[in-house]
Amino acid sequence: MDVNRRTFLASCAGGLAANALARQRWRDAPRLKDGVETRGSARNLVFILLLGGPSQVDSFDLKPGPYTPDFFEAADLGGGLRWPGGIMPKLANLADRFSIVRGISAMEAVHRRAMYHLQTGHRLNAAMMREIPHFLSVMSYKMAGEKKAGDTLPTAMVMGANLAKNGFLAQEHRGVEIGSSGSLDNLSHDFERYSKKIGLLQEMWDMAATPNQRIADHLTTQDQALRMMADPDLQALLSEGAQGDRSSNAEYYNQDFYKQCEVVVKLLELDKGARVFQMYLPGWDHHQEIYSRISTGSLPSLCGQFDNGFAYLLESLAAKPGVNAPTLLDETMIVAMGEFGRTISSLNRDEGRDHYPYAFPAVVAGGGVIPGRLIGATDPLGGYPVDPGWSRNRYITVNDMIATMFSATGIDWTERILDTPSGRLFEFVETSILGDAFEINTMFE
Amino acid sequence: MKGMLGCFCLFTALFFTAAAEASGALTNPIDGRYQPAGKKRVLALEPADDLTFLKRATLDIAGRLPYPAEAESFLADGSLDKRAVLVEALLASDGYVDRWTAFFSDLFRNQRVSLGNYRNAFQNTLRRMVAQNMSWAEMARRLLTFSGQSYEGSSAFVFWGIKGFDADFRLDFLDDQAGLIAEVMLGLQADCISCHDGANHLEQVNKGLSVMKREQFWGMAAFLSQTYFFQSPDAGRFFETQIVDLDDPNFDPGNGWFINTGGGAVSGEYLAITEPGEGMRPARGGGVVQPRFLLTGEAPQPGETRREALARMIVANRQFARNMVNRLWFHFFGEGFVEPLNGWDLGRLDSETAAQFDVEAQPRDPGLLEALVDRFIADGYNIQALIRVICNSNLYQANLANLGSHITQGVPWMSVHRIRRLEAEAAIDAIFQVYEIERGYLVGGMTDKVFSSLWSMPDSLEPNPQAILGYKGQKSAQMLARLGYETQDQFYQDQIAVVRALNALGRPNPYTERMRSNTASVQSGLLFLNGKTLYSSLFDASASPLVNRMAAGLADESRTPGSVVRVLYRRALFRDPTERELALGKAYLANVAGVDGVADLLWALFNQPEFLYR
Repeated sequence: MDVNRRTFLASCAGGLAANALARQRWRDAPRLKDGVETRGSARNLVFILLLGGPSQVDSFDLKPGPYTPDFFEAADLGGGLRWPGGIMPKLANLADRFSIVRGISAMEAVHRRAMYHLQTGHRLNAAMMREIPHFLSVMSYKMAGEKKAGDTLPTAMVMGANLAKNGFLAQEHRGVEIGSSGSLDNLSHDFERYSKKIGLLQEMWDMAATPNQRIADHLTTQDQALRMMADPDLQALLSEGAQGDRSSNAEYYNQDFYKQCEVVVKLLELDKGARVFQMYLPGWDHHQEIYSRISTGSLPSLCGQFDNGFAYLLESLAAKPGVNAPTLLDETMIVAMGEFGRTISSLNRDEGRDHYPYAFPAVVAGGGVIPGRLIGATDPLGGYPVDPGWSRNRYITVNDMIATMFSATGIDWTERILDTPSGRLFEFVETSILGDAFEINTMFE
Repeated sequence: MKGMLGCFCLFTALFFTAAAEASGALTNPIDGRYQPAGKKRVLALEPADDLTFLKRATLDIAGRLPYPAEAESFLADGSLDKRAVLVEALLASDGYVDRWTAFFSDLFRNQRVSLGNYRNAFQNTLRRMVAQNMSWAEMARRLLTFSGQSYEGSSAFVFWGIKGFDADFRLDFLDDQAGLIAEVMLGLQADCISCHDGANHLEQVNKGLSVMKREQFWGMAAFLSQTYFFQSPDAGRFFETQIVDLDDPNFDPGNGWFINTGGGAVSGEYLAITEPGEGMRPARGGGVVQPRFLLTGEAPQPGETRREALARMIVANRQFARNMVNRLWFHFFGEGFVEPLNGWDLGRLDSETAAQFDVEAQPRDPGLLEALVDRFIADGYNIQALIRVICNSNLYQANLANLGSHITQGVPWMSVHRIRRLEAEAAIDAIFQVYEIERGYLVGGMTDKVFSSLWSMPDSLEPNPQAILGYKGQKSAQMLARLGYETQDQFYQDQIAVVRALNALGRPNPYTERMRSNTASVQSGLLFLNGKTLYSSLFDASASPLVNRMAAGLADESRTPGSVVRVLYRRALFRDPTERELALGKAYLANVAGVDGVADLLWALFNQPEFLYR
């Protein structure tokens, strides 16, 4: 079969795109039981990866102790929320705008494996790594039918570290990777003869044989790149050095996270097709000198960066009209979490904290999440959950968090696909030794 | 239709039989593997045409595109064994040394360690090993037992220093190093059991490791416990560091001193007693651990140092050969018998072992794997010999047009995994090669040499934009002239553009533990399309002799537009244009005159999948 680019792309157009050719072997797996009802309260999702494992007892599940520095200004904000206002002052004033899920349990305690689990809902399995997608890519796949004519961006955008790409899903569901400072190299161009050159290229592409999926994938990305290059709004936003003046935040060492927040807000506002995002604030692996006020990478500094960016996200999204809801915040779910937590109580002998997976928190807001809630509770030291805080009588896992993000965006997380390229069954969220994953209902009702 | 297909296969089979006889490759274990039962024919696959094979083999073996003259003489050569002859020539070429030094540099993650220039010394060590086709066994033995000065010619200091200068707790260094050795030499992720037993942790991850104990990992690390970093005033270069072994009878501490001991006494033992919070791993409670090889439990023999013993046991283990066969196979076929390459599960090596765990065997095509391992060992772990076996096989030489997503014609390895984008280094080198622009790159610490291929860069910090900023006056002017620049700023901008382009195209970065990647992405798409960063500073077509020659030929009418289009297609894509492509190219040259038109055509060709993919 001689397939050229035009017929190939035509065969991909509309609906569940790019199931053509190699991918037409898929079937939805038969349901063992009825599908679940999804929440569908969020049009968009912003997932903030706090890579490294933030220390929960020093931040979102604050457990003041003799180890807590004075400058944390640990205070009770009411409703059971204790908060280190000294290092996260802006959010201290916005505590009625977000909720916190406490006592989440991770199944992994090594960065790479835990991060992979958080990005895919699957435990890292060497044999299947190639075909397991990022959960944002699965969302893109399920949202494909909602693409608008004139969307210049793919559905998923990924900033920072990414261990899983589109897996076995079509190339267009791969998250476009943006630098962690929120810019994209080589987006702006200074072509003379732009239309002539692009015309030549497209004619050549149309003549080129598309003998296999790899080449087709390449042409898909080139098409995406061309669409983005041709969009002046994106150029203004994503080109290096294109972002606006940030002098008001100059007191912070590292502006990257704030820049990402600005870009995400702007992209949601522009509504160019990008709807699910990964943002990235890494560096929480504080085995040493966790409280240092000198080191730019210490916990106080990172909390400051988070505070600054997250507060901006909440306020800006709430100030802008949504597509289907009164504000963008109403229709955009934000979830910030690390891949696991850190050891509790007093510090280790390097004045740090080590990996600890048994009770860590997530900060959630927007997209139908009821703000100002504390979901679940941990013991006085922050080591174990004492109240699971939801309809299931067990502790919350990473898989439940991912299921909840699927649910909020209206996707049945119990869906499964048969016949992946290696002939396996793919579950959107892997069934773990704890059994099925569930939506955390208390976020919404 | 079926009959026609049969005839066709018969024809190609006969073709291959003749070719194989001519090259003496009838015993090729790869093709023999797919021989239909009861038939004496070798694997019948339609062969790729000559230019496709030339491009494929040149890229895989020497990391570059063929030169125009090579293509012409290869096409003109009518001998039956010309493909085998080409493989030999490529194995003997400078490109081979560049490409495969990078292969091993990737494997061992060569990088700057601490403040020392050990990286360049290690790079040169690897380069010499590759240049003399040192056997994998001997390479491993030398790296594992390296002792001596960090900077000297045979230095493998980086291999030890990466972990040694990273961990500040002695037992963590020994564990980290044992994990690194298991990973690169045996393809095992043994790190897991450096913190805990496999049981109750790894059942879903790795069956082989799930039955191993943390103590067994300590036994592996204990082979390294006699090894220390050391400085001695006799060294001549006062601050340089060496690696020594307490159990080396030739080692005399004299009035030198041990450095980076990571706390504790210099006892030479693996004393597995630590408290929570000491180092990065959970507390150890095991007393003095004796060296025992992870895979066999074997102990050192009298008269050998612990590291010599470890090297002997690793090399003698079949997994050592399997690991390299798998890595080499991945290089040529885009997928390994086992992936990731460091993800071997010894509990699933074959169906019999796997059955004990109630799972399937791990390797794809285990029969071929073991046949190749037999061959590799019989050939004395000879890397070039294995490359020869692979590249002379019909499987490698097959036509890859119209591949299915998975398996084509019932033969594994005929899948889209073989279609790969050029590596970052090869892609950029290729564009300059087509442009006929000779590039000069400088490497920090080796500024007396000018490198022309990006495969010679020792790590992701190179080429070094700052390499000549320290030079002033005449010296600076001389260096700039040699490299073809007028100002230091031009040089800086140019080299930084190369570094960024390499990164966007997925060059591995040991400093951030980013592995090599060449999957399609919007970033690489933008990089190749976009005019600003790449084409106006780095790939400035107006500097290309080829572009200027073609434009001048058009201007004085010594060349027709059709001949220019043909030359460009041949140079970039190694084929002639089709009628339609010819017409399109001619129309464009008529529309956009001069250098611009020629440059635009080449730019469009660089953006064809055919150029970017092998």
